[in-house]
Amino acid sequence: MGKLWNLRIVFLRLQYSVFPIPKFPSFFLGLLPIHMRVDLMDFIDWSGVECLNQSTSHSLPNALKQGYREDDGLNLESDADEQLLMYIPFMQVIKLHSIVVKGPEEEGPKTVKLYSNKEHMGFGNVNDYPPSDTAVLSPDNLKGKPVVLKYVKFQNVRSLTIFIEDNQSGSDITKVQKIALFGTT
Amino acid sequence: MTTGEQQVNESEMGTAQEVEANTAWLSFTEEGNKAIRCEWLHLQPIEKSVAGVRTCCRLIVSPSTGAAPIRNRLQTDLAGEDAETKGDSCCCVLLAAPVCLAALSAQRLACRCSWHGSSPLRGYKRVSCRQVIFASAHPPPRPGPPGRHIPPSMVLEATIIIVDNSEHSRNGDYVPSRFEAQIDAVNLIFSAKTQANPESSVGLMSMGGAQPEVLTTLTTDHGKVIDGLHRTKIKGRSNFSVALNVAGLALKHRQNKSQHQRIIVFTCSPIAENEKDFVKLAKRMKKNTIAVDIVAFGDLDSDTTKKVGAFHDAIKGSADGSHLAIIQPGPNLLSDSIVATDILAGDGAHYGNQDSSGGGGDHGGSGGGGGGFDFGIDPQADPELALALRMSMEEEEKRRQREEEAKAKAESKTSLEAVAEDGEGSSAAADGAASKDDNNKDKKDGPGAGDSMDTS
Repeated sequence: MGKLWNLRIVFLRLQYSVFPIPKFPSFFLGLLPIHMRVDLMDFIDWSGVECLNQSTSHSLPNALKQGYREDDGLNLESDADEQLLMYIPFMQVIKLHSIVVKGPEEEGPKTVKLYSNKEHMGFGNVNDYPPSDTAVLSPDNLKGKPVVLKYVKFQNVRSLTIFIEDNQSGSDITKVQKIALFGTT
Repeated sequence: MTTGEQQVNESEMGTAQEVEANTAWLSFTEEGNKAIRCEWLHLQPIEKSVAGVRTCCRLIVSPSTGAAPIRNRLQTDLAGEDAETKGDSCCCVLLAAPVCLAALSAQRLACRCSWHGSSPLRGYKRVSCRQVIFASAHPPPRPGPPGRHIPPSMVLEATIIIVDNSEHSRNGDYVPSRFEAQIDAVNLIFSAKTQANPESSVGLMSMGGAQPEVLTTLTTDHGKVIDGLHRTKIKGRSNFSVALNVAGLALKHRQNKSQHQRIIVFTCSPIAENEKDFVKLAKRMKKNTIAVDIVAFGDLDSDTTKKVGAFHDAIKGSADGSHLAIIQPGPNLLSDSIVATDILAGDGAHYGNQDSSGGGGDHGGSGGGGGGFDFGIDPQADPELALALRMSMEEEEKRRQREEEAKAKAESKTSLEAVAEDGEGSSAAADGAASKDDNNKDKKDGPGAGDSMDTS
């Protein structure tokens, strides 16, 4: 009986593979060239997004949400000092390929550490874990050039923690104009 | 517009029974052709009209009405001229669900508004108001699934309240004692926070005893908070910074990450930490996006005030603003003094907050409640009305002052000009004066007197 069921399932699968329903992102993405990977913004679980040390009047959505992030006048700013810690959960498991961080030349972020699947991180324990990847942003990066990450380290990402350690000029306030994540689902 | 109106009436009619328990209906009579007199009627718990607040009435907006029709309604009525009711002054307390409040406060309604009463009392006319004061109502029947219509201005918060249960809180310099006063204030804050947004949760900690202790984790259940307060024993010394750190940790692990973090600390004992560590702690709190409100009372020596002030200066400007309230001992209740501070005001959309003791308050006890409160009602029994009255009184006073100044200026000019201007300007002033006189007279004479209210 069990064998029969298995056969049935295999048969069903075959049927579906013969008449594939084209689910755009998952189906075609592997075929697409790297620079056309999907913007992962659509998969962010907004209710869980959190940012520590953000200024009340300049919060994370200014840098992360569609429409706001395209506006260079709308910034994410740090409050007490130059560091920022963002926690971005996703609605499904994703693979992260590259990241775009835009910011002003002076106050833009410099050292950015990325952690995958680390819940409940605070400034107190950022140094307890090794980052999945560290990026030092160049002026080119701040103008919108994507930073390609260690793809293998971000294969099974349910949540991403971005820690901005310092900024270009060493000033007290860090400003971020845009954060965009690219990868596949 | 007509559909909006129907909706308002319908919902008022339809939900009259269910919201009755939480509302008071407005009734007023017409006297002569011009004078409109309002009094307000309690259907709950007993039918009762309050004397001395004749120029006050309540506007009821039932939560199921929705914001748009009310807004339209108020807008058109504001624009509409009503010869009959011109010139009478009354202040109006708007009882509305928080949902409606945000939409309305965005309109900045300030001067006149009219309202057609409908059932259950027939023969309602409209009332015109000089002023609309927004106050939040009793917990309204929740509109639909929670969190659906909540506009962003309704702050979603996770609050940890830290009570001071050190030996210093035995002192009786606050009514009834420092610790009891804190319990009262905690209840007030709990109601205020959960009413501002039904998804806001509140936790409770004590910082005295052997070590700071989490009494209640974040919850929306009032019973759990009361239970936590009951389990608290007064003991030992308070440990401010440890308590704050523990509270920060509790907030970090909140279920709903979209809640803003806030700690409200009551402190009535000397603070052992030195100022430097204290400021460092404030900075750390700020960095973790935690707002800290401090209610300092009791031993308010210069050292404590200085430390608390330094803490506040360091944390100021963090998320949603941190507040500092220094409350001196006195005959007033601690919770009353807190109502007057910014701690409960939030974004300023809701001024009045329901005192949890309001339901059980004694309606018979009039006048004697708060020190220096002289509007003929018991402010304990109805804090939001009391607040509205107080504000209205202050504004009226300011207006009269302005007018007197203007008058004095006009008199210093030529006498002919003065007469012309005086005639115009004084009508309002006389009006204000008359209403005040009426107020005073009414207090003495009871509800039956004061028919000659409209003097314009």
